[in-house]
Amino acid sequence: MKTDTPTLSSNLAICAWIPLFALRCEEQRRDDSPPPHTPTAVLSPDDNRRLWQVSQIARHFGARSGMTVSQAIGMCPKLILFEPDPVYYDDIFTQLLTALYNISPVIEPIDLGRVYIGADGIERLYGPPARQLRAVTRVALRKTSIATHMKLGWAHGKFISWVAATKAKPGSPVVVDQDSSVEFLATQPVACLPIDPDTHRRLLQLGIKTLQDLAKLPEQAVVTQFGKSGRQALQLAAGRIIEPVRGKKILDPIIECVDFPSPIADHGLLTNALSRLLDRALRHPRRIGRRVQAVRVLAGLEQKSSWMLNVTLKNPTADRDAILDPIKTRIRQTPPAGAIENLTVEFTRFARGTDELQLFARDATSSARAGQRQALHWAAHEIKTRLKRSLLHHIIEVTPWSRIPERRYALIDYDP
Amino acid sequence: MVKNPRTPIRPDRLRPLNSPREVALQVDDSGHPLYVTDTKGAKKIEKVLDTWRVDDEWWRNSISRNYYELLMEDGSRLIIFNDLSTDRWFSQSV
Repeated sequence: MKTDTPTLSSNLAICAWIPLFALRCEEQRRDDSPPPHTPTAVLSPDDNRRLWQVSQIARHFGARSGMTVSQAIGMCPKLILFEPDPVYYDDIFTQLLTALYNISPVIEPIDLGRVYIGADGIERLYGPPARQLRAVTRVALRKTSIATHMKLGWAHGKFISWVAATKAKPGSPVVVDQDSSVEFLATQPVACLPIDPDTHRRLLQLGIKTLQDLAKLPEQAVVTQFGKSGRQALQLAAGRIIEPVRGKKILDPIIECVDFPSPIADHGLLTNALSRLLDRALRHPRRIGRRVQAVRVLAGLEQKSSWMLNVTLKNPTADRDAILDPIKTRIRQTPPAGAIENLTVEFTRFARGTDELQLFARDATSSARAGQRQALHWAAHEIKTRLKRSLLHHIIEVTPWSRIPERRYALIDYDP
Repeated sequence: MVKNPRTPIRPDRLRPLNSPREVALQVDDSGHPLYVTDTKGAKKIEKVLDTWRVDDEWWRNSISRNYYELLMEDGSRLIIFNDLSTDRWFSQSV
């Protein structure tokens, strides 16, 4: 299904990974953060009786992700637990992604704390891979101090860059050039492949422990045993395929929010508020002519915690009830852990409208462009007023076919 | 790149883009380039990747240049040219 978001891609990939991202956020935000060697863990946002992210010290004592709190405390009595705040983690991660757009326009976030950065073409800006990685670190550290825990890998393709990042240490990135990628992959364990635990277990039972062991096997035999995922695993292990980083052009989400005069805990009131916010968001001029594909619901709770839902719709729609129904289902499954002080609804992804919608709708893209032009006009006017001259310029084509590079383009004052 | 806004173009408002920047080139005894020095310092040349010549605008101030695409020691690429009319060296993006 075609979505409305154009895709950029890059074969060269930088993997930036901050393990235990939520836990790092919690440790960093607190004035009274626990001393360095204290075991800590974050509770699961979906089930606050279970652990989610667990520090290395806590794992040393036997605490594990998914364990109940009582089990974990039994293993590790000194364990310090943090209530989850997914909106805060998402906010920090979004700030990090926004900063990384200064490095490259090809950004592909995978999960909280892990992102791929397309490195095609940035050599002219930043130089060789080592310098590119230093630039990434610098830009990330300016945004958040938890970037001190960031591990970086540079390689051809996402998979190798991810494996390189897992081998890296904070401050010591790993660069794998194309000639040495097969040799690098050979000694890596099969656990680093994107395979399910059952396939991993079967590989180990068959004595296939490293990627080299897997790469040596005939492809037909692997496909017979493990199917399509086996073929992909084999090709990744042998370094035969390069998965490019696929970035997406960011479209501004449509956001509607409400603050409640007193916190609400009643599900009926919550549903009513969501319904009104969805109505407002659907009426937004930028939504006209497009169908909603993904929605995010964020809530600020009492006691300064938060709650978040991401819902991807099976069928993109512009119908309020069709969007509300899956949200209600998810609320029943993972209700907020406290009373809600404020509520936000974001439409984060869109699909093209149907022909009927297009016929009777205003052109949303033109509307967005007009809004942007207006904002640019006022910004340019303000700069000119304050600084007495325009400091904004266009790049225009003069003689783009010229063999003399400085004849091709020129700068001209931006004058809206 | 922004679409042409159709604002009337005045010659005094046009500014050149990608103007050449003068550099100094050191060569060895047999004329092979060794170092390029610009405002940021000297960089060692690893290899000459490509060369080409541009002769243009013969009808006014004729331009004759020998371009070189260089691979530097740190892995970066640099394009320089020798202005044959003045025998000076410049760096430029193409």
